[in-house]
Amino acid sequence: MHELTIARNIIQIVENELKKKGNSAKVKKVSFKAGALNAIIPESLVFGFDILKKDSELLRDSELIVEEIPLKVKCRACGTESVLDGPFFFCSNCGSGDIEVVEGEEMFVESVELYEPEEESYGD
Amino acid sequence: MEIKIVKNVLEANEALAGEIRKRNRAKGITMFNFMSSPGSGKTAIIERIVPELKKRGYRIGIVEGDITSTLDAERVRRFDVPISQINTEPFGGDCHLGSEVILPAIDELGEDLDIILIENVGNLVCPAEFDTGADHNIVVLSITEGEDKPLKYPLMFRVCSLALVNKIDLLPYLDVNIAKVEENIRRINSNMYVIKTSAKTGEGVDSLVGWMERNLIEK
Repeated sequence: MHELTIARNIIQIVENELKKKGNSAKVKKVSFKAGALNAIIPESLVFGFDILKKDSELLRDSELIVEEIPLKVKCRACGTESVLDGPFFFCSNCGSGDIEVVEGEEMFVESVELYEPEEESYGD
Repeated sequence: MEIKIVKNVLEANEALAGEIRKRNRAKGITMFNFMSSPGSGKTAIIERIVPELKKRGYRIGIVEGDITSTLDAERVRRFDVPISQINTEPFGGDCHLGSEVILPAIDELGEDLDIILIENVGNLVCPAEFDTGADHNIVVLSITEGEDKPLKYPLMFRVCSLALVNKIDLLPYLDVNIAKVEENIRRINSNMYVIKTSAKTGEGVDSLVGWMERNLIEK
């Protein structure tokens, strides 16, 4: 259940970033991206987020959108880039196991969407 | 209105882990982080290597992580080395050790050390995600867990540089194909160093201690 820790971090990051930007409008949507290698279960992450957001003034009425980043690797031997669709870390071109992950092991808060001032109902 | 943020969700953990690594390097301390599923033999392996490392003159400290209980710490107490127990329960029963709990734990061990061993919480998923500040990550996989585990928990096998295939004393009684276990490890991480061990008989312990010695940071 690392999803709960990650949900907590997401809320903290959004609160800090909005504070830094001097923004006090409430958050409508949080877009979060997780690499395929991070083994995030979106349902668990949203479940944890929905519990924790209740304590946050800014995020109480927000929705968490989780998107997966495919696992993209680059072969150190032949330079080919490919997307892995299973846990087999070999180059699709030359078969070398000496590959590095280019994308798909990072998790980040990509953006937030804020309620517009005229949107008076926050959905509660 | 949309606001771009693009901020790594584990950034705070990684920054602190980097800080821990820097501090340990300055003191000449090498930290090894042992991870595995529950019951694969992390504590038994540590019980084997601590006396060996002590015999070779190294000063050891141990960080024991568990969701609750001090059972593992009690098992290693007889070695007369400093032990720091982390129970993650007060932090919400976390299934991993984050760098924020490692830092106070290693402070408690004192400074006169060469090696710190972390026994992480038994779990093949979450601990892989959280950098502890260790110099080397070691995964213990016991042969009773099945040949497919590296394929099911790829991140764990990606972040480790040494895999211990443990409980090989049980080989005669199991249908497990040990070559397949190794092959699956290499499918995930072709650079992984693999040592077959039995914490029960002591087989492979010399190789493990040798690997650790070769991978100590320069003083």
